[in-house]
Amino acid sequence: MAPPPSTSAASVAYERHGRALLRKAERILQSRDDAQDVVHALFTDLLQRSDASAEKLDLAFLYRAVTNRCLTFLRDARNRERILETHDDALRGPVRTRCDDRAIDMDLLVKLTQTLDEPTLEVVVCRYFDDMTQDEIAETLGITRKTVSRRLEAAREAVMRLSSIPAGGGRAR
Amino acid sequence: MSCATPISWLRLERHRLGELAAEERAAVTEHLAACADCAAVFARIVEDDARELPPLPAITPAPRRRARRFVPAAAAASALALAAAVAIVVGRLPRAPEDVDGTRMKGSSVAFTLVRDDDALVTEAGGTYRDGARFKALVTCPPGAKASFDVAVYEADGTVSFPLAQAVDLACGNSVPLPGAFRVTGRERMTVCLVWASGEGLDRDDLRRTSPDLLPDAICKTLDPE
Repeated sequence: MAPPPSTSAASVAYERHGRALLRKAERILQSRDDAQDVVHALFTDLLQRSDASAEKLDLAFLYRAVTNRCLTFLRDARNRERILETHDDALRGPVRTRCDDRAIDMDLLVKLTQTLDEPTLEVVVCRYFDDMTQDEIAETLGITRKTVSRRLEAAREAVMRLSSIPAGGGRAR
Repeated sequence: MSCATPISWLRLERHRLGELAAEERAAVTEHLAACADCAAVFARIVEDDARELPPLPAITPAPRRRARRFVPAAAAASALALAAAVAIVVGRLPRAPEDVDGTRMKGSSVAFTLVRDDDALVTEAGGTYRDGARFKALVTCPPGAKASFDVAVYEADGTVSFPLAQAVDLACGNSVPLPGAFRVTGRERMTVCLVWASGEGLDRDDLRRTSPDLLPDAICKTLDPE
């Protein structure tokens, strides 16, 4: 018996985008096992949904879904504690975008998940883990560039606060 | 010198997939030729694409019709031939979940199975864990029903955590995996509870405030360190 269309669409999307999504989750979580769990959980959900059309499951949509699931994962106290001890920095990959001069490493990201709201964290991941420009973030998330800029500024202030760097001067890049 | 305006991972991934329009593709190609940072990232993508894509966990499709037969918990566990079931508890559903056709079901039952997922052989029946052990949670509930499920971990010091994403409006079936897996660390006794509700999910703040033995719709298992 042929699978329902949604199953087929999700399976095809996994075959096509699975590796890119695993790479993305690994960049954020810096753990292969946890990245796989997050991506598999996403597709497990998609396979069980009836509205997962092939058109909807493009890479930009799935990227965003993985971002949010990784952040949910990191907000859990138990996951946080474990991943701080076991993460592998090598999975973060080359850091090409910094917040001022500071790379958002695992320690800082975990602190940010306890400080910033979800929409701001999503912008942080787009900017500092996915290396998106502000225009690209605005387009991907469907928000204005001004909103992106405002959220990055909030993130920058939090980073300075958490890094014990005195606030003042400069703008979020 | 680092790249002033790096090409995002998303664009590089789409470039790799051949999804970019001709003009954008040309611009990316040109940038990669001149930028060592971005070229290194793209090379990483190409290299990483060679690795095997881990297969998705088997999904039990939700049946289209309500079945009257309930699967015994033991049968649910036997379906997990490669994994070691550490806990199977069967409980009543105090509130029947919604059936797919909107009718209410009565006399339903739910089975909760924790499965070790680290390839280690576990010969003894459950109740214990090793530091760092990884588990998946499987739910068996009346086919055709839907409910929202969450896993709550209660520690001796009162900490409550939710290691999995809440499965909202999950279609019931035989050994349906809750999305994701979780790892159990530490050396203290803990209580792992499957909680559920019909409708739109569970309030975690409520769950945090409630002792496991007072949870209205839950199956709990105490795990002791080995």
